[in-house]
Amino acid sequence: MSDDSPIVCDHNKALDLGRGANPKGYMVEEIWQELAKAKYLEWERSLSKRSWELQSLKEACESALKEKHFLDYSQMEGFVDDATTSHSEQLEALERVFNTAAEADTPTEVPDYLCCRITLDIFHDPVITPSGLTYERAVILEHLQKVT
Amino acid sequence: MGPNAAAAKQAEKLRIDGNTYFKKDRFGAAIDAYTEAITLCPNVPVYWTNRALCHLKRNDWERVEEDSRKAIQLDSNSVKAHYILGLALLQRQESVKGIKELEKALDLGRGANPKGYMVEEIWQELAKAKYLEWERLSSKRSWELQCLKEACESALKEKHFLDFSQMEGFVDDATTSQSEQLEALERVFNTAAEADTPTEVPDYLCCRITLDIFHDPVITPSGLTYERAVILEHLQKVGKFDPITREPLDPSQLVPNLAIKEAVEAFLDKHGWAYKIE
Repeated sequence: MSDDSPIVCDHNKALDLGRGANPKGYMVEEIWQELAKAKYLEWERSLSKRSWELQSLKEACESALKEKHFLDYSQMEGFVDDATTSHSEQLEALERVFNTAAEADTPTEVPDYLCCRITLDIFHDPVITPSGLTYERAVILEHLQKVT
Repeated sequence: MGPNAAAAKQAEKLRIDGNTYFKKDRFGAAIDAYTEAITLCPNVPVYWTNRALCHLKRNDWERVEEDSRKAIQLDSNSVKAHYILGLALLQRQESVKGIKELEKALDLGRGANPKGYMVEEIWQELAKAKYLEWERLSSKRSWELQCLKEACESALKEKHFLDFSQMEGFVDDATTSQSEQLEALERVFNTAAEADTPTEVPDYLCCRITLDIFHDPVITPSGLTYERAVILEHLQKVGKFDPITREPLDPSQLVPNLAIKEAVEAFLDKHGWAYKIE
C-alpha cells in the first residue's frame, strides 16, 4: 500500500495515461510539474515530523550518555582522561549515526548520472544517443531541431 | 646488422624460448631465458612482465613487485604490469595500493580492448579484493555500531530507571514512552547499518539475462540494457534479435549505457557487499 496522498495518486495516474497517449505532449510536462510540486509538499510535511522525532531521540541519547558518564565518572579514581576521551568519541559516533539516519532527508546534489547534461536537471524522460550519453528527450529534440 | 640489432634479435629469441618453457610449467628455465633477454635489452617492458609472471607462478611476490614496477617505469600504460603489480600488492596485504593498481589496469584494459578476456579477469580479481576490503571494514564498523547501540540502550534504561524511581504516577505512560524510544533507536541504528547490510541489487543495475550487476552495460534500440559480452554472445549464437522484445537487433545497434555504468560504480562504492561473486 502506498503512503502517497490521494492527490499524488491522481497525478501519478494522469501522468501514466498522458505518457501512454502522447509522451512528448505539453500536457505531460504540465502534469509532471504538478506531480513534482505535490510530492515535494508531501515530503516536506512528513520530513518535519521525522526530523523532530530524530532530534528528540538524539538529544535523549546524548543526555542519557552524559548522565551515565557523570555517574561512572564520580565513582572513578584514576583513568579520568581516558574516560573523557572515550565519552567524547562516543558522542561523535552518535552524531555520525544520526546524520546517517537523516541522510535520505538531507537535500544534496542529485548524482550526475541522473541529470541531463544540457539542463543539469533531473531526468523526466531520458533518451540515449549512439555515443552513450543520456539527455532529456524534449531538450535534445529541441537542440537537433535548431542546430541541424 | 649492428650490435644493437643483433642483441635485440637474440633477446627476442630468448623471449620465445622463455614462453615455451612457461607453457610447459618450467618456470625456473623461463626466468633464466627472460633474465638473459633483459640483460641484452633492459628497456623492453614485456621481458619484465613475462619474468614477473614466472615469479607469480612461484609465489615470489617480492620479485613480482620489483619486475612489474620496472615494467611500469618503461611503459606506464602496460595493462599486464599494473595487473600483476596489483596482485602482488594484494598478496603482500597492501590492499588499498593493490586495488588502486587493479583499477588502473582495468581502465587501461577497457580502453585498449574492452571485450578482451583480460578485462574480465581483472574485474574478477578487483571484485574479489574490493569485497574482502569491504568485509574487513564492515565487520569493524558493525562492531563499533553494536557497541554504541548497546551503550545508548543501557544509558536510556538507566536514565529511565532513575527517573522512574522519582515518579509517583504515570508509570505506564513512562514505560510506553521508553519502549517507543528503544524501538526508534533500533530503527536509527538499522538505518545506519543499511549500506553494510547485503540485500538485493536493484533490477535496473542488473543484466536481464545473467541477473548479475553490470560491468559493461549496453542499451538496445528497444530501451533495454544488457551486459555487453552476454548480448553479443546471444546475437552470435542464438540470433540477431533482442532476447526480450524479440525485435531485430544487430551488434552495431548496441550503445554503451554510460549513465547506468556510473550508477553501478556509485552503488558499488556505497555497498561493497555487491562485489561478491557467486
